[in-house]
Amino acid sequence: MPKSATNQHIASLYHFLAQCMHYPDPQWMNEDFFNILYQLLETLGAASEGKEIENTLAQSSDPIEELQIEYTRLFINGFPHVVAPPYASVYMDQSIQGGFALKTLNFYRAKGFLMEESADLPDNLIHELEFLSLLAEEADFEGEEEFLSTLFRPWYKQFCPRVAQETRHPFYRMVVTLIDSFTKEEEEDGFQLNKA
Amino acid sequence: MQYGMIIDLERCVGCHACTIACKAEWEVPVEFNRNWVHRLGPSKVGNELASTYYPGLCNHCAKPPCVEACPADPVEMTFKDTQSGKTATLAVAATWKDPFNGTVQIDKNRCLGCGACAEACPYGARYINPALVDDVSSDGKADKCTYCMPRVEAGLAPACVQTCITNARIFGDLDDPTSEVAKYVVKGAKGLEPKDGAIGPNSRYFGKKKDMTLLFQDHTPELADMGSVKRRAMMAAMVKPAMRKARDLGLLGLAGAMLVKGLTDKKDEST
Repeated sequence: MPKSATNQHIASLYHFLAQCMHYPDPQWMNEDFFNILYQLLETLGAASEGKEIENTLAQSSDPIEELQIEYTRLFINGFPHVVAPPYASVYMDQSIQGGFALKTLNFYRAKGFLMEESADLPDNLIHELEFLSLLAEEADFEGEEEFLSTLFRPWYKQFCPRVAQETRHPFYRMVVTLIDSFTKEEEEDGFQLNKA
Repeated sequence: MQYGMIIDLERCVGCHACTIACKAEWEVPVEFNRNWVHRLGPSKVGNELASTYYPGLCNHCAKPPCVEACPADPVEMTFKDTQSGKTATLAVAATWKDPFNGTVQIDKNRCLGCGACAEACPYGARYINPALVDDVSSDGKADKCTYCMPRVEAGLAPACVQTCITNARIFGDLDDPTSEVAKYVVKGAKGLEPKDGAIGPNSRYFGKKKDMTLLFQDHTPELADMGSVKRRAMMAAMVKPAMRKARDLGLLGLAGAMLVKGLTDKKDEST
């Protein structure tokens, strides 16, 4: 498959989604960031969801801190327990850094990628999205499809509803739904953001 | 009416005059081709030695997968038969098959530059010309062989046909049984139909059995997975404006990528 603008845009999209799943930091989570998110949602026919996020942020005296609290509760630590750890092994092996994490790392290696020493576990959602971005950039379409179907979707489809149902912030509901929509194999040729 | 082209492999000498004429006529960028000539062989075919050429171009297929792949919003277009003056109005995307002359054409004003058609074409006959940009697409526009319709409508032959030094390229109406191209089809001229496909290529080849065997064994293409081609193109078209802005603002990568292309620049740090 030729290196095309299509692949470039898809690579950027995965990269953007990975960015959304980082711990909220005003360095990147700024006005520009949210404007891009709103624009993306608008072109996807989800302008009202964008508006909902905008309103929630506007109502808060410290919107970034609020997102940090929610991020921690959802993905790092919460009471009585963390809602949805963003690691594949948790869902596939019922443990952290299980065999599924190793399988994921081996897939990265087979495609010629290594992890930085400062990186999280290989089956972390952010790394998986970054990896998909790199594959899209290299126009490795088959690798992308294989990774999605064998290593990404099996756990993500369990992770996504947990976050979507449990979150108290529309931002995270939207982000996990976006990731879900863009990684799902569609029966038709369409893209559907809203459940129908 | 269905315009088609016969390439008589018995006459082609692989001189590339056709590719040069095409480039000159349509200002095709150096790195792309609307037509091409590949040398095949010498290879053993059965107990014989075969050596020929693969002069390729858009096949203006009966069921063109590139047309189906186009995600641009359809608009109504009125087509006119230059011979009878009849008209027909069809809803078409930014690329279509002309209902009267059977050629496959592109409306560059509406082309989104997504590249879905280029990925859908099993022959690699389309490219995205990045130099053609406008408000609709800053990624360039799809382009390809038009069977030189502007020349044909002016009463000329396609540039590649006119320039061919051995008359190996013959252009005409395949639906007219008295045309030279139709006579070649009766004699056995065949198109490069993809594996498992029935898209009806209208550029056809005629030659010795061993040369035809070599051509078909080396260059019978496979159909692309249309579902995913179109899905990706639509996805890219939708996210393009926001993602371009994200790139322009340097927002991507602020959090730092943790995966690196490792095998080539892995440093051996001894401590």
